[in-house]
Amino acid sequence: MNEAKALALLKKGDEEALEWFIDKYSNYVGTVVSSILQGSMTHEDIEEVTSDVFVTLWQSAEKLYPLNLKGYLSRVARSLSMQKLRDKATELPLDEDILILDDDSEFDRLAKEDQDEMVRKAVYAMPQPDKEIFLRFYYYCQSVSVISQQMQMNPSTIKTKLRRGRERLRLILSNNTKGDDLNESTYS
Amino acid sequence: MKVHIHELMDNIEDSSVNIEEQNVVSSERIKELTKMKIQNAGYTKKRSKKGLVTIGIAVAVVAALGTTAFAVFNGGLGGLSFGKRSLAEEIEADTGVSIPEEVMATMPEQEFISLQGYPDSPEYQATAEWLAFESGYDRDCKILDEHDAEIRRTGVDPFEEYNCYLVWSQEMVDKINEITAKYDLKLHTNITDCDEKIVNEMCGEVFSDGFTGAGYMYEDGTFNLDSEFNGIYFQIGRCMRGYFDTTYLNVGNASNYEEYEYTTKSGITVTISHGKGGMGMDKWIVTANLKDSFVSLNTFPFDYDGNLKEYTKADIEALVDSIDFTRL
Repeated sequence: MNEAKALALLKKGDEEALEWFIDKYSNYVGTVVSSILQGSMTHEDIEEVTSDVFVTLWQSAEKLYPLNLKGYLSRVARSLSMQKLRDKATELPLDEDILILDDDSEFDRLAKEDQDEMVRKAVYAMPQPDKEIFLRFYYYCQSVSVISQQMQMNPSTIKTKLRRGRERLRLILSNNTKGDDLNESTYS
Repeated sequence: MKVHIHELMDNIEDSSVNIEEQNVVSSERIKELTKMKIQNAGYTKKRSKKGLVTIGIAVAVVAALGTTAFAVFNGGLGGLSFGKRSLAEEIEADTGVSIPEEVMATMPEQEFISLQGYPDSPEYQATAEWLAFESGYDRDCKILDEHDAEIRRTGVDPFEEYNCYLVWSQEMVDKINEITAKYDLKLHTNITDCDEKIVNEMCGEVFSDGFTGAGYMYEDGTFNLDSEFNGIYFQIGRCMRGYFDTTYLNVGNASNYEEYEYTTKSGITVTISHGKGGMGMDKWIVTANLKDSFVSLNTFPFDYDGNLKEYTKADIEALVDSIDFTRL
């Protein structure tokens, strides 16, 4: 069985295909959920959210296309985990995780889906390894120490690149520039 | 304007980061939880390894009736039916708990149709016989669990040769071999990714410009594509004659569909059916009973962004006119 066939079977209503996806992706989804909930929730909560991701896959199968299922699962895993955290409302965001955009920014005037597309483009336009660091920190909610360990980089370098990423994102969303003029020396 | 970066990331998808996967959850535990939630929410209108009690019985009845009784329905969804399945009865059978009538009323039976051909074809009969066998096999999953444990222990799937089918015991392999010998069918042996270009290269220009699809194909030319054409989202599949295939489609209730025959621009007459699918949403199904294959097409109720879609008769006729069925 390959992924395209498993998805086709899932769309046709096959629970064995669902089991196939769970076998293939439960570690991945569990890891994403765990990195977001770890420290705030119990192991049972992590299992609950992980299973909710596969319930969502089951319910949404007919809407899916077999090209980037991993990306879809990461988004659902992240979204359900963040919702779980927000339901508990345990922590307020740090100031440095808030961007203050210009009042006349184009971003503010865009429809929600266009805003999402603009964010996606801005993040994906970041140079490597800044992009991966930014995604690990803000998308997968990994800590600086975990990122430092997994990417084998100095924590202070990670922090510097995160700061540069935030500034790049702020400038792009404020002015709708492509951020091409933001180079290493300007924001290190 | 203040925006929180974590919230900005809520609606983007990422698979570019190679996250170091950890064994933080048990896949068996996740299966258990997921199935429990699906059942509790009433989403299980679908095929389950443990399920298929009613469909098994219905298939046995079909087999007992032989092909003559169904010949009069040839041309419509009813004639393709493998029978109906009652989720409520399955839950009662599996758990021993009696389901109240008012709850039963919210769980209508689901009907499944063949994607291989009509009951007078060996392909249909072979699939029906397989489903009848499979529905009563290993209902407590003990054999499957042993099989999974063996794979984990040895790293080898002893039934790798049958990887185009869902089998987990020698008994199942023997049954497949018995069925394929009885109906003189060959096995799918190799599966690969597929798109509309591959189909066009293999068969000639089946699909017009603007058609996109992605899915799988077997070495014999049996394929299935999730597709889009002119804003219509659908699945199209071809099952080759002479090969054993076990897929089927949940159509809700086949007798509630309106059906008619339509001759496409390629000169092939197809059956177009319109009704509510297994999820109770608008569905169009097109079938073509061809010399070398059986072709089926079914629309999705959503586009890839999740927006609800409904189509007109003219939309579907334009879609089938864009496909050259003579090459399938």
